[in-house]
Amino acid sequence: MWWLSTKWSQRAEKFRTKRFKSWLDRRVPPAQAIRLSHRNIFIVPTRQGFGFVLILLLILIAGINYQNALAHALAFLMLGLFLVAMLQTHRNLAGLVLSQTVPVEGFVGQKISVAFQVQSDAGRVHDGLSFFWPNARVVQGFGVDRNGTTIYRQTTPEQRGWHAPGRIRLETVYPFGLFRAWSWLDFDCKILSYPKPVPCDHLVSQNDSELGAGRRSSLGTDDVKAVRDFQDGDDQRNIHWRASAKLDRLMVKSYESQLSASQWLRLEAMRELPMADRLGGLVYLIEAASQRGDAFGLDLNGQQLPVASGPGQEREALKRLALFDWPGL
Amino acid sequence: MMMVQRPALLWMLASQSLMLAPHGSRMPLWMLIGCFVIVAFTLARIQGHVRLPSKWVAVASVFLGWGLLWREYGSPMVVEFWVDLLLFMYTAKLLELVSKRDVAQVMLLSFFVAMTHFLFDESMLQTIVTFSGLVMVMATLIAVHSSSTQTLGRQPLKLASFAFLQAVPLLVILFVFFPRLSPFWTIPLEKGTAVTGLSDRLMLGDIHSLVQSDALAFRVNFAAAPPASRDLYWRTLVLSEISEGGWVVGSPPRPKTAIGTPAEVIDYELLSQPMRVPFIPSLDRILSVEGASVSLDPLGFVRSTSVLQTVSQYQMRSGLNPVDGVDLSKAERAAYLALPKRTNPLAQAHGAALAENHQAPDARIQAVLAWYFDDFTYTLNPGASEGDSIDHFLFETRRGFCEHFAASFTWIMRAAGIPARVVLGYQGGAYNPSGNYIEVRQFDAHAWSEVWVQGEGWRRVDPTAFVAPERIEAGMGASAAGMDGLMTGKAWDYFQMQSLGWLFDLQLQLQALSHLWDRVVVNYDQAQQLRWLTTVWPDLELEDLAPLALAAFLLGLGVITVGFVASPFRRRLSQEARWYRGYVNCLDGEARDQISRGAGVARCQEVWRLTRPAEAALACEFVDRFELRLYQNDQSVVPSSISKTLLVLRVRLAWMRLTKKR
Repeated sequence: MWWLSTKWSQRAEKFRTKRFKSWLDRRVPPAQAIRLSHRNIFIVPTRQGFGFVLILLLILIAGINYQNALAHALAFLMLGLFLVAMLQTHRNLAGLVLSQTVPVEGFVGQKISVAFQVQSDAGRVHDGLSFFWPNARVVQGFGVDRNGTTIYRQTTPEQRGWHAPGRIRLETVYPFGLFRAWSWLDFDCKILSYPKPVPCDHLVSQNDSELGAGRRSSLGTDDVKAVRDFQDGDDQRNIHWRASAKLDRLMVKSYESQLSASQWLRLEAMRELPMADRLGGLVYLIEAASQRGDAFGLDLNGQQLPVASGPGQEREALKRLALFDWPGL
Repeated sequence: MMMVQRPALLWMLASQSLMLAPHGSRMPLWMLIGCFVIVAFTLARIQGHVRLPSKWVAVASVFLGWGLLWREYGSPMVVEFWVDLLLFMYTAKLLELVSKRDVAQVMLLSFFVAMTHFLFDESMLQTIVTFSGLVMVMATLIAVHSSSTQTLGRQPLKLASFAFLQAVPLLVILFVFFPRLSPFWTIPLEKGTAVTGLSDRLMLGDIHSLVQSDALAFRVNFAAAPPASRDLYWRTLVLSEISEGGWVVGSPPRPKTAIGTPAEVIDYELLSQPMRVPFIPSLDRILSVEGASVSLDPLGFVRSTSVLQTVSQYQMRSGLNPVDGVDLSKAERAAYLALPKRTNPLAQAHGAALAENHQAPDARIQAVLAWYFDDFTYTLNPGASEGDSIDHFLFETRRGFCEHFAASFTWIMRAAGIPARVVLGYQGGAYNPSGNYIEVRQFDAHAWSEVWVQGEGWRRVDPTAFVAPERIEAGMGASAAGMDGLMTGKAWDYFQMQSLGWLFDLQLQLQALSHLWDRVVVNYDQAQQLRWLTTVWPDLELEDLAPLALAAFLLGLGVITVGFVASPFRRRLSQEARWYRGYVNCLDGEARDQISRGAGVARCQEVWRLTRPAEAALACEFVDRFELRLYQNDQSVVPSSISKTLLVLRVRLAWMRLTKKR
């Protein structure tokens, strides 16, 4: 049908101007977990719903013109069903609780999967739900039973830094398709995207003395100058077993004093790379160092992250790179 | 390739078949077969045996269907043409059905199809069938929109029935209160199906075909006890003129004065089925009638402005044995004596001879009736009439039916100089004790005469009563039983049924129910609406109806909405929480302060023991059990025992408070 073309949805898209968005922000504020209720559910009849009303009116007119009592009754029944459909469609969304379970990180240009937990707080079964993400494919049809459901959403960040996932549209036309109930949900969750790694092995070989994150060969046990207490995130390979046995607690080798110069990953060292790739180069080196289990420190134009190793260090370094604020970067 | 789940499609086919079925017996055979083929084909398609036909097959079949329908009805001015067209499109849609939206459209159309059911049948059974079909339609919509991929079982049906139950209160409210409007425009469409019933002329042999039908004519509820069957003469048409060998209504002169005061007045409510002619039966001499578009004819019968298409209800008042104390005017006298010349000469001569032999009009009447009694036979199988039909009957066959007797009697009367006319209507009717009403069927159709007697007015003379008294005394069934095999068709089955005791009783009950349905539901119009509502609100005006309807509707909607919206908020508390809440409610005074300040139950018990030791002992028992169950997970403590102790505690507290107040 021509009047049902997609133009309307485009117009509707335009209609959601800034003003509407700010109203929406007040009406449905961002939150960690969102419970759907009459406050944040919108509902309008679908095309079929309007068709239903049209048929209802035709039947009523026929009933009046033929003075047919049962046609009257049929029209009234349809009106009742229409309103019940509205309430039931609303009820199909109401009582759902959505929450984001795990914080999400990833690299620019890489697919990230965001998981949302959908549960029914009334212990009811909700059917025929679908899930939209702005400018993305529809996650068609899923139901929520008493145990809840997890829905996933793939996204590919295009810039480093924090990303708000944007509003999610959860909608349903269940049970009768006469009404569409939906909610625009804004999660207080964020996606952190790290710069895309840019391979820069040539830089390492050229400026080995300055940049080279220490290699295993140069980290012989003999070079150990100090030991320190084991911390979460330390590489198991760096545990100083002899010292641990002696002191009866886990100790790790500390290379800091000897290798500090070469362990520092500095932004200045990336001068040869184009502006846009400099942070990516550092990411590449951090990834490489973490893979090897090496300790490293990060120096971003004077903002320093002390030398350490392990996943904690890697994440912290990547996070700093993701959020590093410097003109031109 | 179907984009809809299989269970949903099966639901769709089932509900569609159910919606088509009531039209099955009415629609042309080719169309019935066509619909069946399309449904079967779609079933095969769902099962994966065949594929979607090309677009051209669908287009061709639609054009073929249109053409055949046009050939069938020949005119677009018949309701059946449009209904069948709708049904055809409704079915042919299956040939191009692919998406969910297609299924939804077909299902929405089902509601329109449901409306067409009621154009042809407004019975209770039809309503039940149609509404069940609509439950299936709603179940289909549920199945279509469900995201479940497994078979859904009966779940959609359950949910749809639930939705129906919620919608029905609104239906009832609107049905009762919604103002009934008069038609916006007159519908030019006529129903093409023939209705059995009296015609507006009396040709010999007409009624004979009617008595083979057991179709319902009308039902009557009397305000008081109904009169005996032999007194029930339902006058429908007064035939005053002879035209082309048959009696017709004609246009007799207006009577000089109104009917005299009747000896006895009787009130009744008549519910008429669709009729062939725009005349409504009424008892004896009708005095007043209330109902849609009817008027009293001066000759004393009820005219309707149009032929009844639906069941219609009338409030009537009739006078029994009225006395018309006035003379006939000259014009009237001439009209009621007029006979066409040169037809039925023997009958005319017989009438003239009668006038010579007997002076008093009464004597002439009696002489003819006596002749009928002696020489004539009442039969349902009188044979064909030839030539001058009255002469043929009077002087050759002498075997006839009520129409023969009435027509010939009136003819002789006129020939003998007594003003006379034929009355067409129904005689008798079966009393239904379950519903306390009289039911008249088409086989009760009857014809009799009215003759003018000076000083008395129009007197009813039923020659059939003299020939076959049992017809009048006991009704059609008795006379038919005496003439085994002569009566054929449905009417015969109907009388056979009477011999099956319990089955007949059951039938009576069902008929009473159907009558109630017709009176209360099918005939719920503006007049009845006012009559009903004024019994509750005596001051109700017609204009108040719309706001009242709106208010009642909103009230109903509010109740349903609260039921829906409130339920998600009314979260169910766990049993433990309810016990705790019950305990807290028992507290008062200082103990309550303690617990509201966050003190534990133990501290609370302590306070209680100090202030009111007697009650605390009871509370202690509850607290012990509660703790055993909850914290020590002691399975020997049954939940019901905890509830019981709490109940005892609360009853005891309530009792103490009550006695203390005294």
